[in-house]
Amino acid sequence: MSFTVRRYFLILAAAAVLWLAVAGFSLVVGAENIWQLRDSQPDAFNQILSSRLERTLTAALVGAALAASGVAFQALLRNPLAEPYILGVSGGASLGVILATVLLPVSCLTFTIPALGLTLSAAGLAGFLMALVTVGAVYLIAQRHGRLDPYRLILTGVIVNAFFGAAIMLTAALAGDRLRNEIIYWLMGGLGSLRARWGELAVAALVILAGLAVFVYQAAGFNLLSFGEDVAASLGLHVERRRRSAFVVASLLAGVSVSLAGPIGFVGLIVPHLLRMIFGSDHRLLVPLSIFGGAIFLMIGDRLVQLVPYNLVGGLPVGVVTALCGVPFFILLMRRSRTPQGAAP
Amino acid sequence: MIRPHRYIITCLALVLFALAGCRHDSAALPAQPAKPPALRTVVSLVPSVTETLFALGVGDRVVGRSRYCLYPPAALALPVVGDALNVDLERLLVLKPDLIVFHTRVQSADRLTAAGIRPLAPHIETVDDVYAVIDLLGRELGVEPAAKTLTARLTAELAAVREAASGTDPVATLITFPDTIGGGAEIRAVGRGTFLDQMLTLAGGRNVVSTDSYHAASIETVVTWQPEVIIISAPGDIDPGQSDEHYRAAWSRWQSIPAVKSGHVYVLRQPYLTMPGPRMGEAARLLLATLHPDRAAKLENAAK
Repeated sequence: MSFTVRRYFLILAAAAVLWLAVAGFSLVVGAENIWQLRDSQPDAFNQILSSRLERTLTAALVGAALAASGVAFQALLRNPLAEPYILGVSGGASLGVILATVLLPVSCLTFTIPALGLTLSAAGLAGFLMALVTVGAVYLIAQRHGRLDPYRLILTGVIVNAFFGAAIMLTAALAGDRLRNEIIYWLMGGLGSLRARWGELAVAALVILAGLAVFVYQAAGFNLLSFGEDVAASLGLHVERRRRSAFVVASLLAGVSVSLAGPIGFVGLIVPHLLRMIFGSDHRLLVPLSIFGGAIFLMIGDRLVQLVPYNLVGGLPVGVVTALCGVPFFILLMRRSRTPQGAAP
Repeated sequence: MIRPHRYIITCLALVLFALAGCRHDSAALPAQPAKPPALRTVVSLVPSVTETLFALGVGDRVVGRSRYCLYPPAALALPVVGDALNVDLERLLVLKPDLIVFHTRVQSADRLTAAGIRPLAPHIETVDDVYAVIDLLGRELGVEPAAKTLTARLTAELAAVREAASGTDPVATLITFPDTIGGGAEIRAVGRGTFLDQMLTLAGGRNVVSTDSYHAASIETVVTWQPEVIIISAPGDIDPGQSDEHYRAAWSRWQSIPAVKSGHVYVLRQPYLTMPGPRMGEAARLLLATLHPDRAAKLENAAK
């Protein structure tokens, strides 16, 4: 499809409007009818609205981060199966969160930074730090003379993920019954919290928005990269530098998402592929669209989960819903397309 | 080029900074009752606590329960607002109870405390814990006399079972649970210091497990324990379709275990067996009837 500035802005404006609509919808639609509450229980109305706003913003940020890093990895690694967790970040971040939860006493699980007036969770911070460590480790293992080979990267990521997966299982096996349940449940990915998490959300938002801005800026370069290294280099792109920065940014986005909401699967795979089928694979459009698309997808997923009545199957984790939707979709997609989506032409 | 040591130092500094900032406040707020205790409402997500509340005569002030709170029958009419892991936050904010009793440890729950809902997460494992919870709920809800009566009744019930079992040879007993997945070579054994261990000791049994708490044990270890009786606690509401025979069959190949060889493998379906709460007298009597039926009959006759 041809790229025109007019079309570009029209599509993005439509996506933004849809984003706003879904976000608004997420605030007013839920298991409790808040219109009724507004007059009868104004306190409960405000508290529920605040909790829904936090959930919605978390879903929007995490969904955007996952979908955008999915697009980046698919372009960077020239692999349609690439997703945000492919380089082992989810395993590292998850292990960080889980170890902090298991090892720290309850009183240390949240702490405040008085100077900033923010309350953060130690588990979230540990997850983020472990994501950083994982990114560093994967980079050091996979690089050779400062060059990153996509295949070595993927292989390293798979192996690192397997290692952390085993470490998580070991932790779960050694933890007591109750903690084990908590760990398994957390691994399914969820967005709710009994604690107001505005502090964490603010920090995560800063990191995520900065990362997304980098991707939007780099989008044209992704187009070149998907033609192959040689072509991209001959067209004047610093392939190594671009690959390295995008790889670090994408991993950070994934790491922040895991720290915030657990490893939510398939958003980073479904959303980019779906958008590519509809709008083509021009990354200048695909990257910002994925940001909106991922946010919308996860906001809707979380609302669906919230609408299930509690006496039926209360508190379904949103990660389960996204993965359950993801697999059939992916199979359908694979059967329909002659060449794998996202692969180089 | 990335210099790893610089990153490591930064990370360590951040971790130290984080630990230094740990807040040592307890999750529960200081008691600042907005309402007098006699009017407070409760949501209980712990089955034994729900039972205790009804036993204290304040069932009408319980406004929500967990999916697993199935006793007494009157509790079934209450709305479900959570389970062991989840809480329906929105429902809870609408119900606005004064107290919520959790099963797990409470991390920070400021969305609840901000709404005036006080979280409690009492540790309930032993007989003493049961009495402590009765006392706590009695004070929180302004029904101390009922709490005293209940504690006295339970103490007497347990004493009667201990009395009935006195003078018997302690039966070497293993208490375990059904294998749910795989049915492999590991079992979950009830260890020392647990509620079931206390009930077993009262009822004239001797726990073959010598370590504390619940843990996994290989079947080979169980063989070395040589239990004379094996009790499989399989609460009926968890898997009602499964037959006792099915649970027993898993043990039949281990004929070197005295309990298996002599046919003393019992499946006990009563949910109260594993519930440290107001029905613990019944739990103790059930174990007595399993281990020493003659003594149990005598106890029953004496009660009549």
